[in-house]
Amino acid sequence: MSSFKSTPTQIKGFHRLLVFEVGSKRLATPVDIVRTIADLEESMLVLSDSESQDTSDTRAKINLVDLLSLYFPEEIGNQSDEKKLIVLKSDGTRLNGIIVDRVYGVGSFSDLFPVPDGIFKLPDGVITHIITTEEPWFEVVNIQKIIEINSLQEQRQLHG
Amino acid sequence: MDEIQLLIFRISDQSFTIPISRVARVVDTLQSRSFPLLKDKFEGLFIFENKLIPIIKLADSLGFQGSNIYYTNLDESVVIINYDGYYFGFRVDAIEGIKKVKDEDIKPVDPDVQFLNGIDPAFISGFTESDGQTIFSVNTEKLLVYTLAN
Repeated sequence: MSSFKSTPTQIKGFHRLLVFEVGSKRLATPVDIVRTIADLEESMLVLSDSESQDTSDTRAKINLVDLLSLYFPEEIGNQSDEKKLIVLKSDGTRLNGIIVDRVYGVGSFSDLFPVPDGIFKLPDGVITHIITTEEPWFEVVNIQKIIEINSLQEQRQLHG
Repeated sequence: MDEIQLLIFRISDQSFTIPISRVARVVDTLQSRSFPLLKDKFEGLFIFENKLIPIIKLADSLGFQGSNIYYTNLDESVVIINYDGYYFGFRVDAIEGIKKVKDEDIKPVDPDVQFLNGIDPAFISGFTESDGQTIFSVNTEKLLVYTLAN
């Protein structure tokens, strides 16, 4: 019995994605998970008490993940004031968001190719699809998964 | 006596085989797309039959460090493997043909040997001899497991 998952096939149809940039990397995520997008202002942020990479919006208490420092430490982030906060929809009381360098907008993309397991340096499920209809090809990321992984790592650090 | 059909290919000056039952297709030179976050043993990705296929740097994995096979050889091909539904490919210098051998003609590799003609034996499952030439059998399962895990 093989332990390999079969290589998935192309998903036909159109998919609405939010396209953004982290460092020099263009990425996308399904737009239906996004609650709002806001300018990221320094005054919004205070460092949390823990030594984690999270920061908290003192008014809305949004748990933030900085994608650049988490997954692309070799990249140089955007130094201008175009940084954005993407806040995700949430069923619970806790809101989650990510900090990105630039938001391009929302577009419809056809023919997403699911990524086979085990080929990226990131945990499986973070990069879910490749968009091949634009040059250069770019990745669709699962932001919820990134936040889940980040939360688990924080809990492990807190509990030693 | 069971016979097995092997695809013979060459990397640099060395010939290798894999069971033809594992081969989904052999395609002419194609350019794969590189992604910075791909694991180091992958050269890139390309699309084959509506699937995204990773290309493994087989030459590197076998110990051909600094091999010039990439982008320089007009005879090069990409062998696409179907391993129980998981597709991957690797680039070779040339396809040399197909050969039938008996099971007992494939000899095991000495587990204590560190290098076979300068080749790392980690992904070699055995060898055959033909016209005085040694042809190594690539263990595609081991290659895939190791590459995905590292």
